[in-house]
Amino acid sequence: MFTQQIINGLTLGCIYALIALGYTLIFGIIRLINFAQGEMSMVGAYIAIGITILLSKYGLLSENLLLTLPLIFVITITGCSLLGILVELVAIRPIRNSPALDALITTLGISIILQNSFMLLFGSNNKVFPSIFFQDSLFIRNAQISYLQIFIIGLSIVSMIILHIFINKSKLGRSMKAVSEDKVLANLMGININSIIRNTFIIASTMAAISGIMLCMYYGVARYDMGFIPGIKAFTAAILGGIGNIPGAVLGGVLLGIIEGLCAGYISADYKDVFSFILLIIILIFKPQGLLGEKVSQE
Amino acid sequence: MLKKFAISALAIFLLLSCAKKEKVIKIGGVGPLTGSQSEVGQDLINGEKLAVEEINASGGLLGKKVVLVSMDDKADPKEAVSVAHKLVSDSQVIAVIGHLNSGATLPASRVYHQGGMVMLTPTSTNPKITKQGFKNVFRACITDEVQGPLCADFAIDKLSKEKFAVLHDKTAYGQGIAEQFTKKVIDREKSLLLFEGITEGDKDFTAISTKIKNLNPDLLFFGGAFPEGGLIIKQARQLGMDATFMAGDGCFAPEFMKIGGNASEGTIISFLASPWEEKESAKEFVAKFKKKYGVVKTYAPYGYECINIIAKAIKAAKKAERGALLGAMSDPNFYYEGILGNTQFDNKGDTKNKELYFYVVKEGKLQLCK
Repeated sequence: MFTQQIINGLTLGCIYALIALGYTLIFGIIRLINFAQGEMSMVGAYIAIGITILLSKYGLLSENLLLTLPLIFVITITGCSLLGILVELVAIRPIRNSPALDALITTLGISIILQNSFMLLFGSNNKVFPSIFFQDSLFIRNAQISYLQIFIIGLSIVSMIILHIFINKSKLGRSMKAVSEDKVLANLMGININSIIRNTFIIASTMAAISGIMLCMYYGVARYDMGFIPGIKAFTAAILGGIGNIPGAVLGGVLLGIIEGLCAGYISADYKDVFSFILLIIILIFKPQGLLGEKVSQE
Repeated sequence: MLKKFAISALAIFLLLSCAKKEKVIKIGGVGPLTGSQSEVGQDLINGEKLAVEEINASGGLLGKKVVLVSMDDKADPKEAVSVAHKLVSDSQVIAVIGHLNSGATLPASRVYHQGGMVMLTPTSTNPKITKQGFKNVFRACITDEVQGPLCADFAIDKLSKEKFAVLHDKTAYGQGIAEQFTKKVIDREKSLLLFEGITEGDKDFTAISTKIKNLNPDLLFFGGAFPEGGLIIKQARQLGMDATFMAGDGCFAPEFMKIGGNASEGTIISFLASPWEEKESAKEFVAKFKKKYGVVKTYAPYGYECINIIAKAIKAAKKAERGALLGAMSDPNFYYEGILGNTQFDNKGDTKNKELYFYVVKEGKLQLCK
């Protein structure tokens, strides 16, 4: 049972970690907590379900997994990225130089707008994602791991590694780091701040899109308010690991998922959320900068 | 001159509004019309609409037109109270059919009680609702005190199960029915392996499913609604739990099978009525409903029946007024013979008609257990 709970928690934790990466990236660049991050993954889930419904209409869905799955990912990521660009352009850029609280409130506004417009457009009932991908399971000792869980964990790790290499090795990634250290100086060095911020939103939206597809594949359903709870949990994970710190977001997400799984499994499902937030409070009291965070005192 | 004109205009306006006021009888109809349980809420209100249309087509009540004021409580207790205040403050509304969820009905019933308005809940099964000592509260369905133990008896006698695990969603309905089920299991000296709550709206039940699988019960009973029920059985089966899954009427909805997929096969679900299509008294209603709104999903017949119960009581009261209606409904000899059979209220306001039916999910459809 222990192995099983660890695997359940790890799967959930990987999804949290992907959303948390979005929080941390945006915070790292412009010191802003983008509360619409969870809703981004909801939009991703809706796009993914839309494509599968469209594909199944033309009978193309189950023919070739290697073809349909990348197609779903590419379209969903594109859609979410466009939305991310739009959000940055409309809600963040005009008030970038206002106090941090203003932008925080606009992101909350965006999250409410997205939730409610999706409810009005597509109704408030559960949308069902056809369970066609990775339905079989694997047995390791007495734990049962579905291929879907392996896929989710694997893909999360791959995305995180790609992100890590991208940030540290590519020119764009290093420019992002430069902007996060000092905006004015980076600008003097010829870095276009606007384009860097836009690219950060694209990357954060991509992570959210991937997590959205995973959420609706894993649970088989999507609803307009599905992004809210994972969004809050991922925010917790980002704080837990140290907001602004990329490995910290991953560690925070995975840790939170596993703790939830173990608490629900060994103590009581009633108190699942209680324990994860108690952990957050303890971390904030004894290590306010998070597990891997640097000291950023003024925040 | 202007003053005179203003006064006469005001007088005419008042007269007109008075006249208008006298011509209609308003009945409130409340349920979750949006939100995750909108499917069953809409179905309930459609049933009510059909009954109101029929009454109006045959000349209304006491010579007045009946208007259904349908309101949305989103299955949320807070929303339910504010809807109840709205209805009570409109003096033309003389009765309310609602609410659908026990969690919403409980706090709202106090507001209707203060307003002296008849509240007839079509589907809320929590026993507390009629135990508050409110004379205005009536119920057209059975309570969990009947449903929970009957479910347990069915599991023990018909399915011969010995070891039980019980989950609930911590709502007034879910926890209520789960507690009643558990009580009967313990009374009959069967073993109870687990009794735990989950959070309504949560999507991840893998941890608790793993725990249940390892306890290896014969039967898992869930007290709660279909959005969580569908996900629980799906995730539990994925993890290899092979116990029979059983749920109360909260999971009796086509969406349960849609969410659960293949995993929902073999689930036993209790419901307050036998299949409407097969019920002699309901055949006419089903045909009429189908023409107008499509297939009966869950609670439409309850909505239809409740409007007709109120209509009969208004006729007996001979006055479209809250107090008179309450008097007529409280008369121990009051009864209504309709599609649910004979409805007669006991001194607490509960129906004396107590039946429960069990369904099994077969090939994605709910079929009556024989």
